[in-house]
Amino acid sequence: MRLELFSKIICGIFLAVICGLFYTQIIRGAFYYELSQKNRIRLIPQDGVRGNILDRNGKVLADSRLSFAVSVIPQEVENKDEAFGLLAGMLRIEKSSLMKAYKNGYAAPFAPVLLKDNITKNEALFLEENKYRLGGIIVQVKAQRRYPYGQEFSHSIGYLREVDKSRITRLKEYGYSLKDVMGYDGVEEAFDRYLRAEKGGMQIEVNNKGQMVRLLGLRLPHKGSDVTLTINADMQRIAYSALAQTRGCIIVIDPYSGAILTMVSSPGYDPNVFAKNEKNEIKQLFNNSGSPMFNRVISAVYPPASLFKLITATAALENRKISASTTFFCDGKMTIGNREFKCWDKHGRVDFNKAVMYSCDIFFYQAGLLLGPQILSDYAFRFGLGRASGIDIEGEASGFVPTVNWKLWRRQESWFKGDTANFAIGQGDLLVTPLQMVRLISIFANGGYLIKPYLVESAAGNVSLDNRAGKKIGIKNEHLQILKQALSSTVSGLEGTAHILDMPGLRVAGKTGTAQVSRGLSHGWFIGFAPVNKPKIAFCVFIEHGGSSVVACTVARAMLERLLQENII
Amino acid sequence: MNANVRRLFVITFAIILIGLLTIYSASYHDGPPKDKNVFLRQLIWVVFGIAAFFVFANLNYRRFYDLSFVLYGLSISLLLLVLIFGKIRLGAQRWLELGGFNFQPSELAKFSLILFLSRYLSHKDISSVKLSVRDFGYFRSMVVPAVLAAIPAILVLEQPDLGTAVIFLLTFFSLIFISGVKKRYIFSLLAAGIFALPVFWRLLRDYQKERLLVFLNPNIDPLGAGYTVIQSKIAVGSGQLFGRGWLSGTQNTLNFLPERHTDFIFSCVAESSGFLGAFILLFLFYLLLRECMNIAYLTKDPFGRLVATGVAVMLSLQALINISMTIGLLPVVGIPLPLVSYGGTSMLVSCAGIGIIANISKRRMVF
Repeated sequence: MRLELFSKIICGIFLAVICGLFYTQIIRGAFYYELSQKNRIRLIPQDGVRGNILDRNGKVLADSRLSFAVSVIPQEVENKDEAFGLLAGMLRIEKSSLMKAYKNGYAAPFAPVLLKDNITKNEALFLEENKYRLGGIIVQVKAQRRYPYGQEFSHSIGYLREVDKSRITRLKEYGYSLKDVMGYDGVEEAFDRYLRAEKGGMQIEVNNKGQMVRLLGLRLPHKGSDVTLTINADMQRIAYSALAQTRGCIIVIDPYSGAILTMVSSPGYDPNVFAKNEKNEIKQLFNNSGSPMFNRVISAVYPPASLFKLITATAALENRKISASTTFFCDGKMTIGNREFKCWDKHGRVDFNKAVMYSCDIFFYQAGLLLGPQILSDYAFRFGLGRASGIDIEGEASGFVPTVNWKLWRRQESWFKGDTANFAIGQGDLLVTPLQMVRLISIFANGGYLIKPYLVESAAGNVSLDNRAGKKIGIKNEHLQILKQALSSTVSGLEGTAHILDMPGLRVAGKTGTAQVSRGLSHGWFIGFAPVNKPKIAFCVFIEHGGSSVVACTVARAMLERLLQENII
Repeated sequence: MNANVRRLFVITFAIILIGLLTIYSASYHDGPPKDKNVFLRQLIWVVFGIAAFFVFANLNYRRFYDLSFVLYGLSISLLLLVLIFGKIRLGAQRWLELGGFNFQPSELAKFSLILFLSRYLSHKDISSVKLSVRDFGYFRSMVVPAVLAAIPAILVLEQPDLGTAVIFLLTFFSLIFISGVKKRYIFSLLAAGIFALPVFWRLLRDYQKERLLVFLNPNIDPLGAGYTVIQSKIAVGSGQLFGRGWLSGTQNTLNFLPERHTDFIFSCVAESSGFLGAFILLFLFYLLLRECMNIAYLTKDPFGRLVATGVAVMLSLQALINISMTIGLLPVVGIPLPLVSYGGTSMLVSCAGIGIIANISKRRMVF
């Protein structure tokens, strides 16, 4: 009968619908549940305040100040055109720029959209007073990084910037995300994980219009940890002013521990430019021919020139090729192989002390030839050249120490005696960083220890004490004393190359260097320590294309005098 | 009340109760102001509805044999009135304002059509158990009833209300199928209908075409026409087996689900009570259908049989189409879930219809 057939058809439809429900609710249920959660839950991040950076005496090198910004909560503004017009009038800016900022920043009806950053305190107060006329427009207080010293600390501290693509792929698993601000260069970068604020946020439930219904969860942001540096802010300031914007760098360390007291590279940059995001000035910094973004102390490599004579001298003493009483005759030139090698002056008969004091090339040619290239390379490595020191900030160059094998393999040339002579006086393929040179001089100041320089005393209250005493490199004490004596004579002796540093109140010892370069004026070096008997500081002054070591010595003297004046050493 | 009538009442009441609970849940949280009092209004309609059930259960249904002509005429005139004076809500002109409440003539028209077609297809003579249609030719058994159904269908299509028009069409086919019109007649008309589909497509409003297209792929317009289907599927699906609890589904309480106490009330049921609750509701509709069909089967009066079947089929098909559209099995066509969705006319007419079936059951011994 038709009625029965008809009933069956309808029952079939019932079954089909039940199958549909089963599929939607049971088989795909979890998927739709997930979708319903996404529908209603929004996350709103809240930024915390970055940790401060302090010098060894607790002086603030980087902190955060309050900055004011105007934002708008889209769902609370009825007439955007009118409100923006009013606001533009109050801030004396173009209305179109507000509109543009709004368009670019809009995320959700309840999420504030930043309209203008860095308004002045007076503007902020004015807006607060006129709040009733500007419904939905709010003044937000944000933390902005502040560097009270500016250029002096550029390279040691670094700066902050929005994270770039290469870093985000590298650091994603450490919780960095797009638009995050992170440290670049210096301590800001190396200790970012300490300084960085722990982000907070709100998890809120929204309705179909995206309006907030209630708060589901809240995690308050936490301030980042403070980082204390070994740097002495006053010393750093003095050192930077001593450089007086010439290209070069100064590094001062505690020769026993390796604590860096001063690290300046000139020209520097003002990290506040990045904090305020002044785009034109940032562009200029990166295009400047003086390379202000470049930390010459750790990232630049130069020939050490006469500074290397200290290593040649030590190696010769240790290997009994010469003794303190050995003399060579200097008549201004000598022939090695079929080439003539010159000394920078005619010194006559020179003993060890005089050789260091005058920086006599002939003496060290001879010493080097007695040693041979292999021992010279070995000692260069032993004194920490050719590899990074392991300083606790990024960007350290390792420099280069040539060897016989290297020349054979890489250049397919054999090693000549002339190469050995050049090597012995620190010319040729040898390249070092100023940081390596201050380690070198520290060995003579602290009695034979190769220290590991460091910039951070403590982070988040934790002091890292790994290997602060340095590593003994096994030089006989008597040889160290001979060299120390010679370094002292270099300054105190009337004919010493660094006699300009013989000053009242402070006995300085050290060695000068003038590095010849293929193009332009020679670089000027001075490395030294003071006071001679119980050294408190070891330092390196480097002037790029300064002409000779005299410039470096002059800068060093200017710095030391100021330090004495201000009772810092 | 015999056992059939008692069962009929219990099932109907159970469905109404689920509807009330769900409407309470859907309007419980703060929503647009018009949502307030929705529950109270529906409560009043339920009282009227139950009253209508009892009134019609005790009213001799044979009177409708004579009255059907009047009711049909009244429905057509009211539908015409809607087109002229109707109140526009949700983009459609479906309601007439009568005193303080809105009346939806298309709901009345559904029943008038069933009654009128049932009368047309059966003899007035109570003693004749034969359906008159057996003696009809093609014109009288197919064309005339088709025109009778097409008049209200075209009128509601003009409102525009595709869903109700489809219900008219399905009611017509159901009744001529049950009344025993020759199968080849029916198939010939179906074939003609299929050939007429392109013409029909051109009659549709843009939004109706869009809905049909969106039905095929809801993601072509996720914020417009597809939004409802997507949100509804999320609501139904997220209920999973046991549901998210009464008053606590997020799709419903946070307003993601549009039309949630009218056409999409089933999504609320499914979200808050899960597959279990949805199955129970569907099963109740099945029991209702079975009970009505049983009564239709038992009665010897052809008119009563056609009316009972017609009403049962119409209620079941509306429920099935409504539920199918909430889970994306059918396009969104604006058909309410009878006895559950908010709406006075639908509640009254559905209850009255079931009341008539109860009366048919009571009187079957008379014949």
